[in-house]
Amino acid sequence: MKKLNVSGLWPLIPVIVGFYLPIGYVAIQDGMLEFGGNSSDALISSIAVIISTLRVALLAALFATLLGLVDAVCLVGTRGPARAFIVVMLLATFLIPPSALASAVQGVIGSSTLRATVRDELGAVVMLVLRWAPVACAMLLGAAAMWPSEQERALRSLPPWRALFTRARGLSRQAARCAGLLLLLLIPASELPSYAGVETISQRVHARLTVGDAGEGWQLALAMLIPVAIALFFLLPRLHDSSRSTRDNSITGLPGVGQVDLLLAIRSIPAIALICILIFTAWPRASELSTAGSEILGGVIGVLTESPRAILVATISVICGWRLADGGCRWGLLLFGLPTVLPGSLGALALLQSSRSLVPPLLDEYPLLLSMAQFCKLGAIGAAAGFVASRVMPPAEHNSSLFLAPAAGRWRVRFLRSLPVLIPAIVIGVAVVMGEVEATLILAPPGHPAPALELHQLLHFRNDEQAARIALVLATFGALLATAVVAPVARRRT
Amino acid sequence: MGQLSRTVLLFLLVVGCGSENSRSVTIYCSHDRAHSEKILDLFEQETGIEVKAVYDSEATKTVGLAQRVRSERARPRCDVHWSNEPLHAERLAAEGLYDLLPDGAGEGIAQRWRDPDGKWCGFAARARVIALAVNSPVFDSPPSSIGDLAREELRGRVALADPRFGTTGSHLAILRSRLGPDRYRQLLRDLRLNEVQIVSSNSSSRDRVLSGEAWVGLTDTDDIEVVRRRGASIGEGFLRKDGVLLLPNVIAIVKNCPNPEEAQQLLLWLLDQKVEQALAASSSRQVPLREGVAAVPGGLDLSQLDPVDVDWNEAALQLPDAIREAERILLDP
Repeated sequence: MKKLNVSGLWPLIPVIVGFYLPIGYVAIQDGMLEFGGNSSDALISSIAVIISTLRVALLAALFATLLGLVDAVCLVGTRGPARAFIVVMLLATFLIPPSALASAVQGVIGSSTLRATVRDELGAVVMLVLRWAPVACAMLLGAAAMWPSEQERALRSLPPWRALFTRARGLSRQAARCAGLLLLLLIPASELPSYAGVETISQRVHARLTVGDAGEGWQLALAMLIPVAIALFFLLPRLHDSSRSTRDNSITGLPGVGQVDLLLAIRSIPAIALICILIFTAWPRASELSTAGSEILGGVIGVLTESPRAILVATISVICGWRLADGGCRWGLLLFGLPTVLPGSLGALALLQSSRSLVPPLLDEYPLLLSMAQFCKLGAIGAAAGFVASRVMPPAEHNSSLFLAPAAGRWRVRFLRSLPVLIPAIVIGVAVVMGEVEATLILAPPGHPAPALELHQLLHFRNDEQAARIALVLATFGALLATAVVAPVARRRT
Repeated sequence: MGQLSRTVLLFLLVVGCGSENSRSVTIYCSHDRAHSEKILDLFEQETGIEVKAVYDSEATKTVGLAQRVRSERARPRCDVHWSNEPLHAERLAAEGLYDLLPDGAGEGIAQRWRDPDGKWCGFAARARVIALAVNSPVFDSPPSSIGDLAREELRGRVALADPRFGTTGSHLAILRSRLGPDRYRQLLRDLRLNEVQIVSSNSSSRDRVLSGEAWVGLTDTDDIEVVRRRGASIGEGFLRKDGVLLLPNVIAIVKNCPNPEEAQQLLLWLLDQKVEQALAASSSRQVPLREGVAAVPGGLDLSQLDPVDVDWNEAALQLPDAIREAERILLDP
């Protein structure tokens, strides 16, 4: 990492204003610094929950990355039929919120003899892996798109399976970073584990903040944050450069491997099955045509209304993360990424309590605080994307850009070269914002569309048909976004 | 490039943001959206006042919106708070976050369903019940008290929603206020020893019964009714030995709310008899709290339920301890 450059820390301003200051202010007000007998008891009794949360998050991050790595290697390392369709299918489902996924998984598996597999920690891991494997796949597809052309040509002269293993080995560093990012994203996950009956630290913190002793809630959050921050700090400088160069995007020389085609076909089955279940459930009877039409239209309007904001928030977050990484600021990246580890409700409550009275009433109708909370929540995605993007550029190109004026070198060369990594990260950020419920519940202006929250409420009431229609709209939007990920890995036929 | 960026930004802001109406009222509603939304739509049609609603999520039922009201105290955004149970409302009232109700609000609703200080009024209650798996051995001889859920033959076969949220938290707080701390903790320990399944929400508790994973699930009447109307086979039983516990919906006006006039209008409208009747007839099958309001066929009648008396204030005071102890005893690994 480079020497700290204070002028390059401006991307931290929104995180400091939107997260650290409100959190600090409210935590102190709520008595975080007052340690009593109850506090130590609460911390000790919660150690098991912290360990269980970390265990679930770690296992899910590892398996999701492994699955994503297999998908990415198979997709970029072979040629075969319907590849674009398979990629879109694999990625389309990640916009479907956790509640819908859990409902589908438990509906299909939970009531059968296999039900034990979707309960408890194993069940939580299975559902988290299903939800996040497409995200890992998207990230690794982005990294694979930067493969050096010389290496690519050399790989294509190897026997097919050996080439695939070599590619997997070559992507292992990116996979490690991907697993690290997923770990950060999964530590605060509470919704899917709760469906599997697993207690997580997020739920406990939320319960403390809202009903019990708020000071204890902040202490628990701090107890969670400190080890993660230390681990991150020591892990960051150990990630080395992996110099890449321009890619070869033709399919010439790529092997066609029957087993890989079969594997990818099998791998697509859960996503296709989920979409088929949604279509089957959403399909209206003759008497419901007008109702179904208005529900789908409502879903489309909701998604169209919310998606520009989600894209804006995700884009700014990723650009800020990239800017910090490009400036070589290790502390900055750490501060930028840490809010992701804490439950979304915690930051949202702090922001609401500390800052709402400062926002002019004129702006009450606008989701400013919500956008700020979600921006902070995406910190780890922005930081990780920025870090990976700044590492994949070949040193020669990076050094050449330094001959230009600083701003020109940064924004006209390095930023543009980083887009193959940054765009998938933005897509992931959009998916996270669109599926986010905790901050939305607390900060969304009344009447503001929130498809994920609505889906959640509909599923609770077993209004499966309407929920399926909204989920389908989200999946379609996910498929459209997936094309942004597919584009960099699309290969020419010649 | 710069102009393009500004245009895109402006477009995104315009598309992403709502519009202002001349007369509007904001309500935070933790009653199930499927029912409350229709009722609020009706208010909009009748009065022309736009209703901006925020609905709760099932997982953090009641608690999320109550906390939002609390966190916004410096400059409230909410006009009317419709809580689906009374204890969190009672806590908010005690913290001085509610205004006094207007005269004549909820006429005909007995004093036992109101705040003694006149800050909130209950209406249209739900009962705490047990969902029963139809093919289970307990279907014909269901438990009649919460203590029965710790019986040996039900080991691992009872589902209970996360005790920190929603009506389950309120139920436990009421139990603590009635049993006393020692007997309450013993009950929790017995349930833990009997391997009770803790699930995310009342609807999940019901779903475990439907899937056969649990024989008994502690839940609310509306959670059972909604699946019954969709053709599911599921039994329902009251814990009669403990007394039938009714948890009313609660309505209150937030202090210093931005639209006090509209808030009063909405509150009076919601406390009208026709709303109770509509909720009773819906698949949420709420119990009308006005004496003399006839129950719909298949519905629940207040006079037949003989609900237990609850000191709402005392139960609300017990809530934090009840939840903390439930978390320690039932949830800690």
